[in-house]
Amino acid sequence: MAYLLIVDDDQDFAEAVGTVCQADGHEIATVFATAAALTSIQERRPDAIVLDVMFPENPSAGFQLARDVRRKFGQIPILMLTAVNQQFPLGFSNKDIDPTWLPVTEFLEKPVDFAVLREKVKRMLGEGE
Amino acid sequence: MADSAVAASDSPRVASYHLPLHDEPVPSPATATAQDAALEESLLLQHARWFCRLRWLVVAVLAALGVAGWFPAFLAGLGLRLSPTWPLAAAAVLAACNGIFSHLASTVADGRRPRSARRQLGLQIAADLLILTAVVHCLGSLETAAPFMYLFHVVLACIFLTPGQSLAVSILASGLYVGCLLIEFSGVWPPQTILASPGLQARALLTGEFLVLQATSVAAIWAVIWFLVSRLAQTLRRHERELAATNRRLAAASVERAQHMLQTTHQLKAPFAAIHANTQLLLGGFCGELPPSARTVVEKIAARSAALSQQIQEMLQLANLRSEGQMPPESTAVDLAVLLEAVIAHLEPPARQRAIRFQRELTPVTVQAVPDHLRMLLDNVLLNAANYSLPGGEVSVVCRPADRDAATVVIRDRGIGIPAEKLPRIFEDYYRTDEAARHNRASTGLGLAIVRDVARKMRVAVQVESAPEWGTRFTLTIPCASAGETLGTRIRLN
Repeated sequence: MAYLLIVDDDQDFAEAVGTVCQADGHEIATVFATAAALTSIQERRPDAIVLDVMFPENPSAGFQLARDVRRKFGQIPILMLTAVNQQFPLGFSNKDIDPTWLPVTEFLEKPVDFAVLREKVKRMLGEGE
Repeated sequence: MADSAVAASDSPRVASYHLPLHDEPVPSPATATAQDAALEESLLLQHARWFCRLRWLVVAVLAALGVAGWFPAFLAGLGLRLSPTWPLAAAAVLAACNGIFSHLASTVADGRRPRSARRQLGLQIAADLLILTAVVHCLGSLETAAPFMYLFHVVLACIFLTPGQSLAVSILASGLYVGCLLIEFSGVWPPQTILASPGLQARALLTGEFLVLQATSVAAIWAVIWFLVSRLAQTLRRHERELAATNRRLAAASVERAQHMLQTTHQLKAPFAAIHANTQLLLGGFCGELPPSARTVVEKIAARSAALSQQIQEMLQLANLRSEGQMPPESTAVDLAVLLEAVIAHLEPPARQRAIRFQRELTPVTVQAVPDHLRMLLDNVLLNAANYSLPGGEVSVVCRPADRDAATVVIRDRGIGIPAEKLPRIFEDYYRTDEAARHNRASTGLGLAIVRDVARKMRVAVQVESAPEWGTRFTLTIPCASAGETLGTRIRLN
């Protein structure tokens, strides 16, 4: 089974996602800030990342982290938890949400249906292998 | 506006309403100055054109005077004597000038001479004053009230032009009148009058002292009139500018409020996402088996949380539709029949719990649209049809090409219906009829507001026909070509 990194500033939500992923047999690490995520990845490279977009320190920190991960660590599958996209830019610039520039494997909108989350994680890990 | 009219439909008790596709335009603060300038130019152009129309009337009056000159006996009966020559000559000159002015005004309108409306208005007034001076001389510069006609131009100049420009017009008018008197005094143009028996003997009055007195009086009276009218016009213009500035501030506040709402609702989503996630853990057995009574409580929490989450989702969708994005959303080719089938498939399970069936008649037809926007529109209309149907009811959905450039979707329910007088309000934010609120307590009142905003973005014509106990029929006419949205879509919603 895989090692997953969950990055979300909402501790309750992150832990719930962690519980579900653990139940599927994955090993998980949970961090609540993007800076801590980079440190965590440096210490141990995850097989996939479940990543929120909006963080208290920066409303588009998730986008920036996705780009940093791609630049520094290469291809790690990322499931981004957001309703932000080109149809619903939420005030973000198109540069942020252009898929050619934003290296994200999957998107999933909050509130998350765990059945769909598990399916996407499974698919993502299949692609990552 | 005919679009928004509530009218009788195919049944006398069924009312019909067409959703207007336009809102009041909101000026952007950034372009306010340019818009003000454009508005002022447009107003001046309107004034210039109005002057031209009015001048044709004056031409007609002068021509009529000329014709009257051919009937001296008739004029003598009125105590007048008039040569037909000068009124006809004045009418001809004025008509020629007006032809030129009308042409010049059209060059401003079509953009060939941009920003020249004010100059043209000044030229028109100057020409008018010259011709008027000749007319005043012929009518009688002292015996008749003709000199008062100068005041028309002074007043109009005060209203339409800046105080400096209107002062120049007032000085020009005074100068021309005094010049006319001087020429008459010098004998180059002896004084004339149309009065058969003038009460005043102009020639006797034309002394140096009288000229000075007349010129001073005219200058003083016109200066007072200029001062009063231009001050009044200036006050009105200032109020107009203040009103425009207030409108711009309101528009800016509205944009800011929409952005604030977007951020707030997005933040509200986070706790509900956590509640939803944790109820899933409990109900999914991730924290061990729940006793039946605890499961019931958690299911209630999940249901209420889902309802609130749905409301937040709708607020977000609405705020997103109204937010000023960096670029317009992108559209792509969408098969309406496939999309409708997907939306119905999503709505069918909850509808089945109330024994509501969807009857489909879907002909494949492709339209250019933002897929998620179109889905929101169809989803909300179909959801309303199901929600406001009576248990065991049927919702019929028809999709077909309307003509070469459009597709039609007709969604008909036989539910509670909407009273005719409430139809024009159903697209307002948070509006729910009493009947709807009683029938479906979970409704947010935002579904049809989303439909309205999407329809306006995509230029979808929406007709609603409804009556209590008859049900409701939505007819959507969707343009096949994209309206104001560009091609290609890259990221899709889940």
